[in-house]
Amino acid sequence: MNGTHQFGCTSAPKGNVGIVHFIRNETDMNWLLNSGPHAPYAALLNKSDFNRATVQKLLDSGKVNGIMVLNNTDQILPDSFSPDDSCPNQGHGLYAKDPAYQSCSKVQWNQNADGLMMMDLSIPIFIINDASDTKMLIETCYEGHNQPHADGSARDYPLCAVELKDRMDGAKDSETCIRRTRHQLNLEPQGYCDPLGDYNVYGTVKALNNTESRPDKSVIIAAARLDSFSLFDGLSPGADSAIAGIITLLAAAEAIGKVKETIQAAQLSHDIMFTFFNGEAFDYIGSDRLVYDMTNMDFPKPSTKPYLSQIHLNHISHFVEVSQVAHRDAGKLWLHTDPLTKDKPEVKAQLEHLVSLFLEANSSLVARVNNSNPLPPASVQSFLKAILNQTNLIFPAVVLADHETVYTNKYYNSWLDLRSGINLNYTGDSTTWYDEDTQVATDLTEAADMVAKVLFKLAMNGTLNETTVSANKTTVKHLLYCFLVQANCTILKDIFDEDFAKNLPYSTYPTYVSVATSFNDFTNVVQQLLISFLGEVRYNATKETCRDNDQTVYKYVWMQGHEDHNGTRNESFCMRAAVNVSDAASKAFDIHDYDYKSGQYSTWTESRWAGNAMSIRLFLKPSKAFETMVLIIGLVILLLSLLLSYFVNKRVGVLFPHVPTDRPHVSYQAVEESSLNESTQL
Amino acid sequence: MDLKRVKNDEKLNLCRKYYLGGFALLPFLWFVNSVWFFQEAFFKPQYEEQRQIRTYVIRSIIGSIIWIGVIVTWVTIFQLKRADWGATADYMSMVIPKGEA
Repeated sequence: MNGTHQFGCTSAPKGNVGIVHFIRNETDMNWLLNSGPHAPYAALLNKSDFNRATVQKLLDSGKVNGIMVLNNTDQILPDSFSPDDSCPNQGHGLYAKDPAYQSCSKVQWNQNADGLMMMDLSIPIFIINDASDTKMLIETCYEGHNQPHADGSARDYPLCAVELKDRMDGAKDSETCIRRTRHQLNLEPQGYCDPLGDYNVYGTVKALNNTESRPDKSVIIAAARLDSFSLFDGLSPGADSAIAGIITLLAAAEAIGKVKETIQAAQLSHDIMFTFFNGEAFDYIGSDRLVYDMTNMDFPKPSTKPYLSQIHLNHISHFVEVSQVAHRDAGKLWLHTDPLTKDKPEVKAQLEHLVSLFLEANSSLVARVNNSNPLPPASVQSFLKAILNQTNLIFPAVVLADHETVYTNKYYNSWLDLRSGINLNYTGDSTTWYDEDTQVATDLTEAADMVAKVLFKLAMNGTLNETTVSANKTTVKHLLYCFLVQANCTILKDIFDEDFAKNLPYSTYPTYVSVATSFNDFTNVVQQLLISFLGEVRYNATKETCRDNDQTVYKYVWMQGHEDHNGTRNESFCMRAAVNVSDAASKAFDIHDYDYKSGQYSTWTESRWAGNAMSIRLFLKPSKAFETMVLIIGLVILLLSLLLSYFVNKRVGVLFPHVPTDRPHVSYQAVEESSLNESTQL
Repeated sequence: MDLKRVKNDEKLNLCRKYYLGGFALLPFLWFVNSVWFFQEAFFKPQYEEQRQIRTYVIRSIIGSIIWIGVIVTWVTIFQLKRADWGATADYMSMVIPKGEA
């Protein structure tokens, strides 16, 4: 839900029951829409057919009350699928109210989008991942009982039906469900929904503490976004939408980490803050919050102990954002700039300089987009929006992306934004994938290398040659494997302590930001990687002394280190870095009497659901006539047995000759009379 | 309490208490009064206090009917309009149904 609407799937409280109908082609579809006599149906779709047009057709027919999507690996992917808006986050960001650029009037970035996520579907949609479930549905259920005869006539009852249940507790909009959750008169409080949110990850190179002064315009922000989403819970791979950018920025951070002493030693150097924003797919939750915190002198949080020197909007000198970077558009990555600020005299020269640094670093890889085009959806929009009218605060900003105009990513924010979509196809045996060289790894390394060189030059004001800075392709290969194949991988096992490493999943992390009540493992993993890339080893610390003693400038973490060929880890160590997390939660839910329709902050919430709210059951459903007959027979038997027992009671003397039938009545009267007598005597 | 065992003046006293109590916005007292003393008021052989009891019972019945009318009307309006009233209706509610606007 957001401030004004509800979206997505729900079912009746006890689930929706429909007759299973498998739609493999146009004929199946038309049969269901035109002739199928046994409505309501539950449609079974191949993954390539699952899009808004199909869903809309099924909904409009009024004959369908549930949808199942088959997720077979052997099926072909649709050419494109994005359930997001064609103009993502259009109500928020820099151009939301700008007459020239609002609603993506210049460029519809996400042209493949069908906006399915932005619909109030109100029927359940399930994805069937398991192969044996799929087989059961198609062969036993559909082909065995439901498939129409060859002449197109429907089969007779009993038919195979499915009950799909995903009842959502929240309704209407965020304002309503949050109000209901907070206003509790009931002794057993019940929640309806929770705000979306998590944490941003940030890390600075220079680690200034709060007693050291931070000059104006001395921090370069290098940013990427942490999250994506999809229609299905737990399936939000975000390969290009988020992961490619994260890996590129992490690899750049590693390259900068190797030369951090140079930057730290130089008196007039700029600081670099690597920032990973969370909840960006839902109207810039993370970046909007960071801007709010910076504006209110609350970033990083002050403390009585020594803490990291605060960074406010006036401290930002440059902003380099890595957006989607897995593809290439006309063989290049593209530098996007903002037309509203680019010509302000305060930044014009610096922006040109920043762009020229990219072109110098790798002229064959990047090109600048026509500079009258607006920025694509990006975290930096939150910052520029806040400082648009304060010309002294404006800084040069570029967004690096794999598209000149419309997205090259065909599966933006969808469950199909998989590694196959960014052509991360391994050829060897799966045990060798971790180290396998791929074109994607080469491309991302090239991008990371360029970003690192630019950042270094910016930080050092061009006083040193950047040739010593280079991104490590091995890291990129490993991260691709860990984020897009399985998280249980060597590099992640090495940088965590035993407890966390032991629980690394054999699947990928979902990138959906989820509700703000928990700390996402994925965010934690990115934070730990950033610590390992920017940090320094504390050789004298043991596992027990490796903690953030009396300060919050540095975060200390224990890493179990690399496993040697004997399977033991002898080189565990303590590492510290000026890395931390900051709230990525919308202020809309903190402000009393916030106007949810104002569009100022993100208002996205997720409905709660009961523990037993999600289920699928398959069963054979007899005809209505049969069901009625069973009910009538039952009633008749009930009546007969009542009659029987009545007569048995009447004629009880036949069975038990010595029991006088009218005794109870007599005794009752006797008692009553005696008590009456008593009362009259009194 | 069994009215059969209560003396007639006690009955009148009781019926009056219930009738008067109903004015303290306690419609259930009227309702109970109308049911409980109905037989006493209309079907028992005549006795001295019966006229008075009958008056109280009739008034209690009228009161109950008015109250039932008021409550049924309110419940109907509230159920139909709860979603439209938004926050106001939520603040009136002890239990808000899940998954409904």
